[in-house]
This record gives sequence, C-alpha cells and structure tokens, in this order.
Amino acid sequence: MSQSSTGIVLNIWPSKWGLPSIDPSCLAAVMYLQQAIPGKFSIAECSNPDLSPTGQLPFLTHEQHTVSSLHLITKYVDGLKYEDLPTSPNLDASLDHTEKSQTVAWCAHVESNLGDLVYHTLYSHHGNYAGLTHPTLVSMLPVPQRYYVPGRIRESYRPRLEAAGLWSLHTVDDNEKKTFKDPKETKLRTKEQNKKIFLQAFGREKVVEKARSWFDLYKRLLGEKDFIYRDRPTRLDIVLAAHILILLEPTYPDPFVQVLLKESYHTLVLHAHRVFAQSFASSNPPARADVEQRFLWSSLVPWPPTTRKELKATEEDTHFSRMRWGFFGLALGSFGLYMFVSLRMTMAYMRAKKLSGVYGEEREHEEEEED
Amino acid sequence: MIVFTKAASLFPVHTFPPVPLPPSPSAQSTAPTLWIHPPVDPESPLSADVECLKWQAYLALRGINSIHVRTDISPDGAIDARLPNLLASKTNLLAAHLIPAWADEQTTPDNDPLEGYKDEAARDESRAWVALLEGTVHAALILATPPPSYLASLLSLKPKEPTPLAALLTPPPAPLTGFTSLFPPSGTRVSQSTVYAQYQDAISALAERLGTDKWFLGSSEPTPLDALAFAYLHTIVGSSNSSLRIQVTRRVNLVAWEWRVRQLVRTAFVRL
Repeated sequence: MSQSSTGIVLNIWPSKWGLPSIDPSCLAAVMYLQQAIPGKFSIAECSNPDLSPTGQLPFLTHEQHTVSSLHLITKYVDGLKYEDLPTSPNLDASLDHTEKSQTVAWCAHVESNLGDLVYHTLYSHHGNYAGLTHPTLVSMLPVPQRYYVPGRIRESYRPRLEAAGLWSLHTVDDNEKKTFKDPKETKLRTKEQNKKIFLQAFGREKVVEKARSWFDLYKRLLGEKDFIYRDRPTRLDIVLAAHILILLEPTYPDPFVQVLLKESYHTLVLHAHRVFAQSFASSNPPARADVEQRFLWSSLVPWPPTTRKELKATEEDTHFSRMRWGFFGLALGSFGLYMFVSLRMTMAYMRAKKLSGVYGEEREHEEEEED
Repeated sequence: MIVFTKAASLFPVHTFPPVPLPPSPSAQSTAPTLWIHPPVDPESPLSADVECLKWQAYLALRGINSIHVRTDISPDGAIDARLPNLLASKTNLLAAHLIPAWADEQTTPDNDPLEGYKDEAARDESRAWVALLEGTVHAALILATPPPSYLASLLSLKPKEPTPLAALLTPPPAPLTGFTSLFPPSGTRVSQSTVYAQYQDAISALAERLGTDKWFLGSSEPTPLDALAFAYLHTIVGSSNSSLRIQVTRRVNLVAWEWRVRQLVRTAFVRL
C-alpha cells in the first residue's frame, strides 16, 4: 500500500539555538521522522500547544488522523508503508526481542530522568529560565499570550520536578532589588546572602551528582560504539540524542550541566552530534508546511480537545464539557439570583416609597381638615 | 483574683479513672511489625497498595520471615503521613526508606557492588526497568483508579489535591483549560490513549525480558527489581480494571512468575 506523502505534517515548537525545535520530544520526533520517512513529511512550527488533542506538542496530522505524543507518533510512523523507501520506517525493526524490550525500558529512563534534568535546566533554574527560556518563549508567542503562557508552562513542570527533588534549588536573590541600605539590614542581608549562596552551591552539587549518575549509565550503555545497538540510529539513540542536544546547544547563562557533559562525557556529546548529523545529512531535508502562524481569538477561550478520527466523546471530553456547562450554569444562576434579589429590593423600595407618599398625603389632608 | 482562683479550684468537677486499652495481639506483639494499607482480600497479608507491597516483597525476598503486619493504622499516624512504616521495636518506628538498613542488620549486609545482578550491565539495566515500572506502569495504575463521582467532587469541602499523574508523566499533562486561554489553569488533560499504549508496551517488554528466567535480568537470586516487579504485577492482577489486567494475564510467564513469588512473599508475613 502506498500512502500519500503530502498529508503528513508534524507540528512542533519552533526552531531555535541551531536546533529544529526547543523541546526534546519535538526534536526527537523530527529526527525520528527524518530517519524513518525522509522527504515524506513536512514540519509546521507551532506555538499554540492547545491545538494538539493532548494540549502538548508534538502532534502529527495525516489525512483524517491526528496523533499526539512522541510515543504514538513513532508507532504511527512505524505502521506506514512506502514502496520507494529502501528500509522500513520502523527504526527498531532490525533489533532482536531482547533489544526491543530493553529499548522500551531505556527510553522510559531517558524520558523520565534525563527529561527531568532538561526541564530543570530550562524551567527550574532561575538564571537559565530568566535569561534564556522565558525570552525564547516570549519571542514565539503573540500578545497577550506572551505575558502569561511562559509562566504557565513553567508551572506545569513544577509538580514533577518537585517530586524529583529538582525544583527551586537555585533561589532568586530578591535583595538585589532593594536600593536603600540600613547598616543593620545590610548585615542581616549579608548573612541571608551567604545562606543563599550556600544553598545554591548545595543545590547545584545535588543536580550535578544526579546528572553524573545518569550520564554514567548512558556512557556505559553506549561504550565505544557509534550507536547503541546497530550501525544506524534506533529509537533509543534518537531519544537520548534529542535530550543531550537540548542540554548542549543553547547558550545557557549558567551552563553547569553543559560544562559537565563537555568535560566528562565526550562520547555522549559525539553520539548526539552523530545522530543529529545523520538525521539531517539526507538529501531530503524536511519541508516547511505552508501554515501561517497567526493569533487566533478563539485560543483565548478553552475548547475541548478534538481529534479528527475520534467521533465518540471520550471520558475526558465528557468531563471537560461538564465542567464548562457547570461554569456557565453557575454564572447564569448567579446572574439570575442577583437580578431576582435586586428586583425584589427595588420593588420593596418602590412600595415603601409609595406607602410613605400615600401616608404623607393623608397626613396633609388631615392637617388641612383640622385647619 | 481570689474569686477567680476559687472559681477555678472547682474544676475539674469529676476526674474519670484511666481506661486501659483492651488487650490485643497487635499491642502485645514484640516482633517487628509492618504497618500497611489494608489488603483487598481480608485473609491475605499482602497490601492492596503498591508502595506497601513493594516493601513487603523486598523484605520477603531478602529472606526475612515472621514479620507481623498491621492494617488498622491510618496513614495520618505514620511518619510523614505515608505508609508503610516498620515498628522494629517498641520504641523504634522506621519510615520506608530506612527499611533496607534495618534489613541489613537482620541478615548479612548487602555489600555486593552489583546488588545481586549478574554483571554491571544488568545492574545498569535494572535502573531502566525501575524507571519503566515506577513511571509508565504506575501512571496506568493511577489512571485506572476510578475518580470520585462528579457530584461528590462538587460537594467535597476538601481542597482538591493535584493529581499524582502530574508528577509521573513526562512531559507533565497540560491544564484542562489549556495553556493559551485567558481562563486560569485548572485540572489536567491526561491522554489516556498515550498512557495505555505505553503501558501495553511496558508489559510486553517485561514479559519478553523475563522469558523463562527464574528472576529478572538472569539473576541467580532475587533482586530489588524482582520485588518491584512483583508489587506491580500482583496489584495489576488484582485490579478491577480488566483492560489493565488482561495485558498481564495473557502472558503466561508473567502470571506463573507472579504466582510463584506470591507464595514466597505471603509466607513471610503474619497478619495480626
């Protein structure tokens, strides 16, 4: 079966720092598709994750199908068949059963642990967030979303990084903002600053220790080979390289993880560059989809996630629409109650005024009669 | 002042004698006792909670026997409000992370740098399987847990706790109201299809990797990975969610392995 190639569009966060995307999952998806189906897909840079059925990028559209998340995208691409491609789109097709099962486990490890390190470096480390991630996101988003979306994206990583012990290890120095100096206060501030410096150093040491333990594992897994399992990249190579590249390529204000990688894990750095070069050395560079990125007013209101294929409402859709109707019901109910109460009060006031008017007239009448 | 002192001297009006606790086996027991969440089967000593079961399997596979279990302790009474806790002696209550050190005192200390795995590569690989079980499989288990009813969630006065899935999924789920809307972020939009697809692949990979081996990764003796795998497999087999359960029950080697390890773990505990 030959499938139409023009319809496959991969929607990813825009390119920056010399990489096709700023997100490790998006970068891995591009590299996977470029290795699996070179020249058969196009890229659409997107800065509105709400367009995706899961609210996250990347997502892929092909004819009537919309597939989101890296895992489902790679599975979908594995199932495609092209007569003019020399190899199967499934990059893991040549692996034996044990290697395939190991790939599942190692990919989970990379996405979970190395993912935490990447998200810590981009979103939790204050210096890197304020100096690199925030300005990058702002440059990609329209007004007014550039004012609140970066903060929301950062907050979405907080529970995960807190659970991993990688949140807020590098604190902000608020005292820098104060200009008027009181000698007593200065002494106190110096003490606090020393404490913060100590905490920062301790926090950094903790991150470096964790990073070192994970990098050691991947270094031993890779050994002296060019790629982990075969002479061409497999899914595990691509997922690992995508995370390493996000740590390597941007110009971080505080590049402590980058320095660690470059100084102590040369084989991992070479591996990441090798996978990247092999992905984009093809004579078929990924085409840019002709999609105009413009601000949509509809994006300011939440809409339930829609997929082209799924016609039946999922449990998630039902929950969303219930919440939305609940909100509208509450708003209408409150408005109705307000109108009812204010109407009653107005009527009571008018009745009282009328009565007092009648009573006043009666009194005037009585007074006139007495006179 | 005198009036106040006189008035205060009247209280307490009556003092009741102290009521002694009724004698119970749990109060009299001096053996090490593990406090766990209650099991599904009242006759079984194996907890329905996967975190508690992990530590039960760990202790049993380390060869420690005759451990008592108590299921009547509320998590609020545990250290950090989290079960399991191990009451090692009358005055020594241990949080879960201190259990390995206690187990070392009871048996020969685990000084093996390979931690029981056959080689360094297997030890490294065990870390990947732990990430898969504690991430992908755990997320599917949480997602399969039925949420409270819509009416109950509306009427509940308790502050809504953030979903544990936000700390398990990579990347974390987006808010239900989206990132770009003017509405403040609320709820989470979890892709069930992605979580279940990853779960399916994880169980398939686990079955493939176990093959016909006695223990995971070809170890000759049980390892911490076996304890973890047993905890998840046992919880899934006992789960009320059929789509989750069927992924394990259709794989004969996993079912047989879980049944064999269950006998070992069950005999190590005495229910009070």
